[in-house]
Amino acid sequence: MTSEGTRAALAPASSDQDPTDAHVVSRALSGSQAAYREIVRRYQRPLLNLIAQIVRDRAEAEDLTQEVFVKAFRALDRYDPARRFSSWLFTIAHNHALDRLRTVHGVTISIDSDEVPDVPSAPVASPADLAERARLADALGDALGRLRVEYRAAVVLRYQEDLTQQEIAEVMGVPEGTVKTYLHRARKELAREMAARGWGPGGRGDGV
Amino acid sequence: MTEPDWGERATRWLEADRREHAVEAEAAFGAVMHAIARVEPTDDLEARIWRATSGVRLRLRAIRLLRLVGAGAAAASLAGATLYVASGVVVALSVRLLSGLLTGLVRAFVWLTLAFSEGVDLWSFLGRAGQRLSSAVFSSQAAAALVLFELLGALAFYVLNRVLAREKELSP
Repeated sequence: MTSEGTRAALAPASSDQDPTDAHVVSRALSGSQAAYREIVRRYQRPLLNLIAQIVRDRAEAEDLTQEVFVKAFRALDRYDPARRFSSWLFTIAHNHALDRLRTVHGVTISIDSDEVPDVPSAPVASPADLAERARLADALGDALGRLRVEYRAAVVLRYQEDLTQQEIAEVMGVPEGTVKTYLHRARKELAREMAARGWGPGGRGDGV
Repeated sequence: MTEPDWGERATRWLEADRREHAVEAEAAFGAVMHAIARVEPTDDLEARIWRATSGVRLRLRAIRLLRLVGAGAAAASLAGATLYVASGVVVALSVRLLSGLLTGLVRAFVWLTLAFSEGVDLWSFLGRAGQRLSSAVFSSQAAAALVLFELLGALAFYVLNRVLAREKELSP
């Protein structure tokens, strides 16, 4: 939970004065509505991002995010405080999104990268840099969308949500070695795809 | 030091990947991934989640309230029953103790007078006193009361232990 984006998303909630997740969960279980709202405020962004990258449809991702919170709150009294709360929530979100893919779309779905909006998360130096970033984001987002869903989820959890491989293994319910394999193969496939699109030495992605 | 542009980042990643430099490729890929913006929620998502979860939250609140009421009723019943039993035992024991004490004092006085007049050694005196005391303390009522209090103590200890363990788990 410490990537640039997640850090930005959680910044107001993770200062020294703010309660830890375990404390917030404890208060929610005691009936505090403010604590429930705090959980929503902290986790709506990371969960939405993960789900959107899995299902590749923003509107559906928002619906699924709502459903994930309903599921999570329903199971909150069974949450094991020995686990990280974020991993627990990501597990529910990951499984719920995969269930939706399997039941509604089938596991492999066609991808339209335009459905996931590109919003710059950091200021850029110049219009040229902005344009290059947009081109790179387009190509990479499109390539990411063509990956197997397991690879895509692993990449998002590792490089956007900054989870460790062990945490990703816990979220995805697979051994840590499998996560390593997913990440390695994902990177290889993405590299192949990007090179084919003209990125790399001597190219700036204009070759497609 | 200026940051490399996005094309240069992509080149570094793809070069490292081509040369099979896994660590370098991993780091370079992480930098390239920052190009992809995170999906931001729409303005009303929080409100929608709040509405969607209202039923669950209300149900959890009701369950918690019911649990509290149930626990309170059980505790009150247990306390009442304990007091009822304890008061009966305590009163019976007190009466028995008082009458035993008075009778014992009279008998002791008579026995002591006779013993001193006939000449009794210290060990016989202590043995007789101990016998009397044990027969007074280890009555069936006293034993029942003792067992009851032991059981209640063990139960209270168990519950307290569970509550403290739960608090410890949930505390930050």
